[in-house]
Amino acid sequence: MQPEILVLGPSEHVRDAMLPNTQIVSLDWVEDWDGVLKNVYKIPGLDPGPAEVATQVRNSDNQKSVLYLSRSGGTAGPGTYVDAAIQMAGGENIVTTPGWFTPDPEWIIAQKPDVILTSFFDAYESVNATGLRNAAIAEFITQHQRVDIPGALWPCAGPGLAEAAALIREGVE
Amino acid sequence: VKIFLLILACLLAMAANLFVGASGLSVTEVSRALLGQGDPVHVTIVQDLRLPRALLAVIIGAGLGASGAALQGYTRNPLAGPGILGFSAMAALGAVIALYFGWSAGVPIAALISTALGAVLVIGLVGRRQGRDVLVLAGVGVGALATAVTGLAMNFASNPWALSEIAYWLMGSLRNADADAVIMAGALTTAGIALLIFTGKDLRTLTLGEDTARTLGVNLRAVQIILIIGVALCVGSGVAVAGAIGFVGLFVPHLVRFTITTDPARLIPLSAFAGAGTLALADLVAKFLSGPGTQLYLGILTSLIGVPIFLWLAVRRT
Repeated sequence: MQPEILVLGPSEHVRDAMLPNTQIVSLDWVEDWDGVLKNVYKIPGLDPGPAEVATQVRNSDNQKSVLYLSRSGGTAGPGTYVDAAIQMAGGENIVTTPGWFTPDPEWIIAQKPDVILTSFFDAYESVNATGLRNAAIAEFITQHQRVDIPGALWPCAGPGLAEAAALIREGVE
Repeated sequence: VKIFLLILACLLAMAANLFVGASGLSVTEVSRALLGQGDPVHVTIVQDLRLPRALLAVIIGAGLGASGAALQGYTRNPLAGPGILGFSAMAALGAVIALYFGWSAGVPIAALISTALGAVLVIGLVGRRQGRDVLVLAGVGVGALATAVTGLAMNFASNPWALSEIAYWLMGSLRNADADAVIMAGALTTAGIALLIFTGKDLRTLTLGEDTARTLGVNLRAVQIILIIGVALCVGSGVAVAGAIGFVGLFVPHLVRFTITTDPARLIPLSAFAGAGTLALADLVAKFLSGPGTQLYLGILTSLIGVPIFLWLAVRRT
């Protein structure tokens, strides 16, 4: 296999000698939108449109509140790429605690988001899948507008995240 | 009076669980929510999250307490606990196998089936032989086998997430308690406790020794089988819905023995109440000590409380 361009994720490496005719692009590990844009522009021939559109709606006045929930009932606050994607989609992350954490089910139920962003709900089976197994939270999710982001888009830190932001944008609109 | 106080303490511990939680609802809000009144969010929190969790703590605690009391009565060994027959390990094995094959929705069923298999194994190993030593040896053997196979499943876990799933599940938690779990565990545990209470009179006779009990008409084989099924129902249903919660069945009967009675027959229902109150209290502490995003697992807490008591009992006995 001799691709014209090989895009490597953060901390992934390949020996140049193995692919002499391939342009290798290494994405940086980023958790903010400026970093995502830099990664998008790094990839030759990639349409930066979705990422640039997302940038334009970053400061929209009519922001809808968004709650992110992973399959395990975990959520994400400021300083995470989920938070960056929500902001880029013109939404407001309901979580103000920085970083990743798994809140108590009571805290989740007490929130009043406009949109619930879910991810990894179709991933591996899990006994700790609070988002699915906890009846009250499962009901809470069905009572709200839900946007499901394929888990594979998150770790990309580049075009995938821009695509995730575009999906969130559709839901928020 | 002591029995009344025990039941009252159990009810208070359960009630306290309803009033404590991450959302910080006031007493009035919780009371109204219990009646289905007030903010619908409060009603959901109290009726769908706190109430099942409090009930499940009481149910599982009662099953563990009664099982511990019955086993200590049968073996006449103060260090015996529900784990001695290997049913906790068998239930955990069933759940781990379900997790290993990615069948998380089937964890409770797998745990119950595995516990039933464990009960059949123990009964088969005991065979027609009577006596506590045979039962304990069979239980320890089945438990060791289950622990080894559980370790094997963890050894060959397909990915780090699957391994962490198994590890977290084995720590025990009531976090995802719901009405279905309450109904299933409640029905099975009630049946189990009823069977154990049924053996009470024979356990009282057994304090005179197996030979004397036999001459007084006690059918040791029947007692063994009823005991095995009763403990399997209590322990299996508890582990199936909440994971492994250790040591409650070991130290609770001692608390009752020291404070109320040493009669093995009365000890079983009273230990059920004490176990219910103890686990409700432990879950309350677990709620207090759990920070935002950091859950303290109930099984870890009960082990931390139980191990010092276990060591004290062991030292005192020797």
